[in-house]
Amino acid sequence: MLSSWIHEFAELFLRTEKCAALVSSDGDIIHAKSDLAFEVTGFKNIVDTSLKYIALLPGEILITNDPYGGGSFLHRYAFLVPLTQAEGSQPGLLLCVRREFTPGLNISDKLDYEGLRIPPTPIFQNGQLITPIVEAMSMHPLCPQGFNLWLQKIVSDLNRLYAKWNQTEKNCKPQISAMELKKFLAFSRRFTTERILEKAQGEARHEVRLDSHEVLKLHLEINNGLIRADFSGTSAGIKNHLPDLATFGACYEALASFYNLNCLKNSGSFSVLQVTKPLSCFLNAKYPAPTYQGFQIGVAAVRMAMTLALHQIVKSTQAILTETDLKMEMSFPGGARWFSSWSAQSFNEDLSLERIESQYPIQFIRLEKNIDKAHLELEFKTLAACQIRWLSDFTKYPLKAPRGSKAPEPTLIETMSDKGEWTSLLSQGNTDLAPGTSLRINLWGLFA
Amino acid sequence: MAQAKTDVNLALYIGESFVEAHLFHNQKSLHFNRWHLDKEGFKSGLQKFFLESGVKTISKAIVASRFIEKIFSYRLGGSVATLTTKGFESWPSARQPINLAINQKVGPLSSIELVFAVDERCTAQGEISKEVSDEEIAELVEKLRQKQAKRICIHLLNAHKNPHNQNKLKEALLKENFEIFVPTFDSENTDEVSRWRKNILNASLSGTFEEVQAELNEGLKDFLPEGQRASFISAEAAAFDKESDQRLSSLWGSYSVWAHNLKRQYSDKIDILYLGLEQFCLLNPEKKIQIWKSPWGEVHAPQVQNHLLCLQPTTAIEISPWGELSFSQAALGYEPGPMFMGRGQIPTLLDLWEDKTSTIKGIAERYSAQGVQKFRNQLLALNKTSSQQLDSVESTLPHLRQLALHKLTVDIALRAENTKIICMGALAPLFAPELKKRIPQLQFELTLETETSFLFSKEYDHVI
Repeated sequence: MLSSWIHEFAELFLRTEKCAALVSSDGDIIHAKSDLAFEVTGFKNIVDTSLKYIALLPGEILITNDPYGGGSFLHRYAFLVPLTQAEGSQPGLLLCVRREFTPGLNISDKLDYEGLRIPPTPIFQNGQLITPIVEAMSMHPLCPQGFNLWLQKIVSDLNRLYAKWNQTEKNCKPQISAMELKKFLAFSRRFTTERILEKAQGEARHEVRLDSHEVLKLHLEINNGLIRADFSGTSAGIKNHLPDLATFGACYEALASFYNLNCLKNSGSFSVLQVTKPLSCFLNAKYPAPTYQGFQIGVAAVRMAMTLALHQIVKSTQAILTETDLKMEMSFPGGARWFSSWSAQSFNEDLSLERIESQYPIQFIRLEKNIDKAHLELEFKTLAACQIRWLSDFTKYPLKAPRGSKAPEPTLIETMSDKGEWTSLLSQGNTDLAPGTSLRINLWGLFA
Repeated sequence: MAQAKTDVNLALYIGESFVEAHLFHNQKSLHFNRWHLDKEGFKSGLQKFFLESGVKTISKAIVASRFIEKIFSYRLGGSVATLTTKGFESWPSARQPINLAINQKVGPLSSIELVFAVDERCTAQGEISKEVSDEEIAELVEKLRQKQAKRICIHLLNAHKNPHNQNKLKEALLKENFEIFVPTFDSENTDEVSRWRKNILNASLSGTFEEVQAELNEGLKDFLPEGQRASFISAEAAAFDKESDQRLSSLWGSYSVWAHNLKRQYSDKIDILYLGLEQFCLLNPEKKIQIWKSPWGEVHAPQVQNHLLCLQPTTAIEISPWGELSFSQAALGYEPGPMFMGRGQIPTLLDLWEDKTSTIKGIAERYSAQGVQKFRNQLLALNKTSSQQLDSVESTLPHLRQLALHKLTVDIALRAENTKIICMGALAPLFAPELKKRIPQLQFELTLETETSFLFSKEYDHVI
């Protein structure tokens, strides 16, 4: 069988999932994917931290969203399902699936105020949902409405997926031995190294200042196809706190995008990257520091620093795309709440202007695309008084790009003043808006 | 034997490259043939087919067609212009998905040069806050004429809440002899971009669709009752002819017919494994899906649940990004087709089974010994450049066959929802026994029904 067959098999198995991984019981990621690419490296830790204290049998299900245990935003819940147990030379296999429920803009000064944090907790054992645990979660004041029903649906989906696995295993015997897995991971590492070696090696330093006053310092070194990212000198967190696993994930995301390595995401390919960060810096946050802003702003800052450094080392003149999405939440009287996430590169497939206009007192005015400037501008107005909260970029000032390339402008929100002039808002914050106020969103780094 | 009765019917299945024609009399097969469109066009192929059959007249002709899929790989849009609410000309293209393989947005369906703004606005409550003026319409007509646009899509925000502006534009443009396409509102599809995409697709496909219809009807003119035309099948299993909003839906017409008939034939729940010359897919006749993940983004298009298998008959054999001899993501189609058919330059999955194709109508006639030799040389060359070289063509061929069957097996095992799998299609006799051996727990049953067999079934008559 081909070395890449393990990858292809995992890809087929996970084809319908947006964010999932197949992990060995030894903690090796065999294949991972996610719509938020920085999350892919965290699957290993979900398995490690979960199985350290909890014994799960094949088909049983565990839930967690702990940002400090390989998790991500609190509204993204990871589910772990052992598929097979280790037997002889064959490692056990685990499926880890991440699903999102009622995303919002939940920023606080403590993680436990940002939402319901669930440490690794079994929810399905002996063929039954563990109702007391699920009910206890549902009764938490920060538990989103409808969580219980949603959880039951996910459990039923995962049961179906597990049954599918069993059927496939019985029929096709896609066994993966420890030897084959080792060979596959070595092969992936070699493949990744070769890709890196195709471009120039060297080192670069970059510094990114965040509007929230953190300073990120990066020393990037590429040598023999291996990459070392050293964040020594990076300041402590003020508003941004990023767990170390997410820092690693953001670094890998930047290099995977730069070297076009998106086809292979496993422990073998991750092993070409080494990330060092001081214990006290904001890229190595510890519980109970809040993480929402870190996952949004901190991840974008890390990716941008990596991208700038990679461009500098390789002397690439390729356009640098923005690394930041814009998140915005508008709350209207009566409790209506419109949460939206905007990116110049990819609009949410569900985003419908007509639907938003019919659900909220919003009217869209225009949307303009300028491919030459890689700029997308969206203008709309609120028809009712509302409160707006937003996270736009890590800085509202343009970055310094390496010679020969141009860094993207920052993502911005602007409001129209009484005099009819556009005023840019801070990179993050909240404010009240009067009815009829016009807003303009500026997104950069548009794909052609 | 000449069949003079008028209750003889013709069923046609038109793929991207092959046409399958089947004559029935009281649901009994009279004559069948399949030909490559490269060899015979619709008209000449049909005339030859009727000559062979001896049939002089038919009472009706029903067509299940996937032909329009052929033009998906070309830039669509052509002479289709779009009129949209001023300020939102870029909205559909901003919503285009990203092709992750090349990290680029998928190109928009209509060229930006053919998108025209209309200074109008309807609110979400259906209030016309800006009415389209007569002067603007006159200017638009002028611009559309300059661009030589023939088909016009009208995409105005919230037009389904109050179609006043849409109707005003439509009437004015119809008077100027433009062909007008307006999106159909569906309460299950409240996303305007998805509706607009579907509308542009219907408009863009119109030209080709009408050409196919014209050629077919020309070919059938001497056989059908006077004034009668061939009917096409939509994804809802309804017959249509000139309804322009059904053209896209014809892509899934055959699935609906097979699903409808096969689920009636079997008391158990079944999956249908379609192993046709041009496509391998798995259908669940009991289930419907609402969204089609088109190359240009999601489109609301209800159809029988179908899953395209990871390998297709014309999937290319290539060196993978990892340096191994493997299969690509892309199916090449039959133009020029597998190498054993003489014209292809790239080895495909079907080339691996070239020695088993001698009885398959449509491709057996194209078998080329020279092409086979070329394929073997090509495989040898590919093997030499791979990072895991095999000894010879003799070992490469079975290795790739095993790999292909293993991939197909895993995909089927993962996607099948029922244990009984009914296999149909021209390549089913070739692949079904192999798959059966590999997945003994699933009950594979081969049906010799062809793609066209069900178009005139008794149970189905009332649906069409």
